[in-house]
Parts: sequence; structure tokens; C-alpha cells
Amino acid sequence: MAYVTAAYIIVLGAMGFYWWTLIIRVNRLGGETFLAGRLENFGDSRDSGLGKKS
Amino acid sequence: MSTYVLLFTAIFAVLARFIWRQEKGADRLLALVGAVFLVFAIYADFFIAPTARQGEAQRIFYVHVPSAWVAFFAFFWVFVFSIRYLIWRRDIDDIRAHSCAEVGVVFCTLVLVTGPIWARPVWGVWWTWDARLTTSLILWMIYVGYLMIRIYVEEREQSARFGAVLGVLGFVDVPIVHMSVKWWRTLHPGPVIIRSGGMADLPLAMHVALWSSLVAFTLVFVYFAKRRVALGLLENRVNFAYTASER
Repeated sequence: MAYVTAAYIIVLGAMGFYWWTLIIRVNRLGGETFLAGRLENFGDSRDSGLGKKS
Repeated sequence: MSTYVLLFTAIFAVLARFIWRQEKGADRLLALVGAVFLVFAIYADFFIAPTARQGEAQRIFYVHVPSAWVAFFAFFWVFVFSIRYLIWRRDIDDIRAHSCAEVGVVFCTLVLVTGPIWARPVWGVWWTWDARLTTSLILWMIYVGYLMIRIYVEEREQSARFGAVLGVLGFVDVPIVHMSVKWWRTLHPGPVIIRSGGMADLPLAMHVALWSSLVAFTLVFVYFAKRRVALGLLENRVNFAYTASER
């Protein structure tokens, strides 16, 4: 049973940990977006950089 | 009502409350449905599914197989979005491919961790250089290499192009992993759900546990991939803003 418990703790723990990293990365970038929003030209939604060829 | 049902209901309630506060709209619904299936799947793995001949270690099968399925599914989408990127060169396809690769690597790692945990009590060894295990390890290395390219190649377009080429070529290993138990003589068990003659003759309780886990893991993958794509879009936006401010 110890092997089974270890396997489930690792799987669910890894899922939870990855979810947590996604949340904190989004939150951190949210702060950077706020700062970046104060930079010149950032407010222009036509220049968001998305949907363009690299 | 048994104590365990109450315990699992309480676990779901805590998870659902967190999701409700964290998410909005379609993502909230997706996460809640995923959580329902995940909590039910764990309950089914421990309290519904029989242990068969392998004893308690059999239960590892219900997280090992869905992790492998999700890793293959994720790498399939890396393959699709990489082809799309190479044809149309749209950033969104690159972000989607990168996101699916990252989530796929998480689940592929879980396959390589849960496999040895199952193998130790059943085979008596943690690892053997069996065809299925070796090709799975190679698959993991290919996609870890993909993520390393995305980090260490600094020029954005070059990084996306190299990644897309590896995303297409790397997928060749997925059918090799799947077919390895047929092509070579291996220790690893053969297909247990769908065989050449149709569905395997497993007890209904095992089907319930396995299919609920497969659905739960797939929903978790879709939710993680969506969140990761949103993060990729945000990163792109910030990078673009900083680049524009430097010009």
C-alpha cells in the first residue's frame, strides 16, 4: 500500500504544483503587464503583437 | 453514507471553492467538471476497483495509464500546432504547441515515475532497459529537449522554428512507444483496454475506475493547456511591450 500511496501523492502533488506555478506565473506577469502598460505605445491594442508573423 | 464518501465530498467542496474564486466563465466550468471526475476517479480507484492478481499495486495502473494517454494526446497537439506554425507562421500556433509540450512533459514525467513505483513490487526491480521503458524515456528526453530549445534559443522566431521542427520529428516516437510491446519482446504488459479483438474483458468496476480516470486526466490536461496558452499570450504581450519601448 505504501507504493500506491506514494504514486497517488506524487501524481496529485505534481498536478497541484503545476497548477500553482501557472497561477503564480500569471499573477507575476499581470504585474509586469501593468508596468508595461505604462510604457510608450503599449495602450494601442492594434499593436498587441498577436496574430502577426514573428 | 460511508465515511469515505463524506471525506471525498468534503475534498471536492474545498477544491470547488478554490476553483470558484480562482476562475471565471468557461474555465471555471471546465475546472469544476474536471474536479468532479478527478475526485470520483480517486474514490473509484480505491473503493470500487478490484485489485486483481497484482494486489494493491494494481491501483497504480489507474494513474499510470491515464498519464501516458494524456502525454501522447499532448504531444499529438504539439505535432499539429507545430505543422500549422511551420505553414502559416502565426504566433498563436507556436504558443499552443509550446503550452501542450510543457503540459505533456509534466504527464510524461508522471508516467516515468509511476511506472517504476508499480514495477518494484510487481517485477522486483525499479527499472529495466525494456523496449517500452526505453522508448518512453527517449520520448521524455525529446520533449525536455524541446522545452530547453524554447528557453535557450534567445531569438524568438528561431526558437519557435527549431521547436516546431522538433515537435514534428519528435512525434515519430509516440507510435514507436505504443507499438513497442508488439514489435519487441518486452516485460511491460501489452494493451489492456482495447485489443485487436475489441474491448478487453475486464470487470465492470475496473472499466468504471479506468474510464473515469481517463476522462478526469483529459479534462485536467485541457484546463492546464488553456491556462498555459493564456500565460503564453500574456508573456507575448509583455515582451512586445518591452520591445516596443526599447525602439
